[in-house]
Amino acid sequence: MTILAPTRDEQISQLIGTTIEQLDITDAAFDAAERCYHDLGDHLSDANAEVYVQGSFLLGTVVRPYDGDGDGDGEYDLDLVAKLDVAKTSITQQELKDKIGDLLTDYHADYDGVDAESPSDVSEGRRSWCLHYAGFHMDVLPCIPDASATSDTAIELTDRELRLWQKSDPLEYVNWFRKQCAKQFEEERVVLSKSYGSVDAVPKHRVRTPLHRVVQILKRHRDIYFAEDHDDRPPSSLITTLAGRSYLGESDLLAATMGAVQRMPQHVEKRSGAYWVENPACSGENFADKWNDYEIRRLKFERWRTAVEQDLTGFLQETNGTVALNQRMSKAFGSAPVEQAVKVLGARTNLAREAGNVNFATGGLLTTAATAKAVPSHRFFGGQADR
Amino acid sequence: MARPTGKQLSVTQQAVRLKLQFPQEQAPTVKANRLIWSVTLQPTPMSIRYTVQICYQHRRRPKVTVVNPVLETRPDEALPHVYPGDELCLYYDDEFVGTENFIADTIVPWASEWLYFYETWMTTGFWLGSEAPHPPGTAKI
Repeated sequence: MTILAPTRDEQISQLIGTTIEQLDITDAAFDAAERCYHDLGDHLSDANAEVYVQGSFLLGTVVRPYDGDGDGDGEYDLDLVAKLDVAKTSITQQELKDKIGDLLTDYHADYDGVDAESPSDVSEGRRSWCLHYAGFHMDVLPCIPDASATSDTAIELTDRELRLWQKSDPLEYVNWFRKQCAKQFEEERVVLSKSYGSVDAVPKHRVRTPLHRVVQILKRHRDIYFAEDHDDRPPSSLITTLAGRSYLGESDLLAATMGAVQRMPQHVEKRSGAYWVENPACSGENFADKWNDYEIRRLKFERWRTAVEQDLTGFLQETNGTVALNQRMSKAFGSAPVEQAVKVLGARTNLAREAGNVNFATGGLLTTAATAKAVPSHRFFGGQADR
Repeated sequence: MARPTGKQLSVTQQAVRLKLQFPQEQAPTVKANRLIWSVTLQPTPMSIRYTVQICYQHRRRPKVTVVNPVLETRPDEALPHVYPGDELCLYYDDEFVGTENFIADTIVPWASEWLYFYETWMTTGFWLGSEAPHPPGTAKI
């Protein structure tokens, strides 16, 4: 781990990376959510329904939701699939939605308040049911296996606004995403294996490659940029897919994020006049379908994409010092995680300093490079009290 | 930190060492057992360049100030870890002894570290460098 970055670019990447780490889900929050969905899975398995995680939790691209006031205590959003093992011919979309809804309502009624793993409320969404817990909620997507697909994990799901069954394949999507960063994924697993005992013991959803971080950075920037404009914000599936297609294996976060936003437009197709970003795991599913219904969403996406590029360029061109850089970064990602990141980095530098690992190079630059001159130990004395 | 043994360091020896260690800076002015010297310090690649002035009179505490730019503070907060006159507090007790330790090897890098922690303080409101114990009856910020 670099403690004191030796170049401007690396210093910016370090600050962005440390900032996004502050917004990643904590182990405690992840474990709490995991216990809840295992508990739900145990109960639904009695009714022949299989429950599993999909989306950003499984991908490892979760970011703490932005709640507007910057204190960062928005609710995490966990996406689950509830797959009922029945044939399409034997059930309608409405029946499937109701069946899963009934199971969840019973689960809630039977276990409400009994233990920490039970939800406090159940509500209905367009495609899914939502279970509310302390600090997070779980969206449960009712679906059946897609018998016509070649993939074992393909599913068909219900949609209140659409007559036809919708096809998807969330598990295959996760495989696709990991393939976009396969080399980095394996490297990162080796790094993490030190804390888990072996490479195979490292849970895949805990791995964060630069591509994972890029997606988290972009989602966070989106959350801030569209804080007052929820309806038109680009969905995470679209951002994740475009970032995945754009990733060229960069290890530096600034370069990877810049590359992703700059290359995104190349991966938007036009099919018979319609904008198209295909789900790489499910042909026919268009993540940009809303752009064809609402032109403004495409325009706002493009404005946002340009804003990310401008913000990154602004970091690079900042000549008024680190405090000005931190302010720019706070505007882009929120002040709470940036301040937290600066604290983490400062504390890390001080530990290195106390251990005698901070050296002094030409021009006053502090460095951990051993070629520079060692700084003797000292403490900062005094303060306002002396005045 | 190896201290020269035997003879006490003179102001001239301090000046010679500064000139040797920082050849790109103007040599210190030495007059009446007192040296004045300025150095440009940039603690991190993204940092601005600070001009720091060091005045040292034999056996006294070196007076270290940031002369350019004028240091900003957080709203309604005074600079932390400074003596009156915004002189930087860089060490505690005998961590530096002017007749034994070279300013070039202690005070100057310490000033760079002070600037690093000043910058993090500006953003976070916390002084993240190690702090020395404060005299009884004085509040720690």
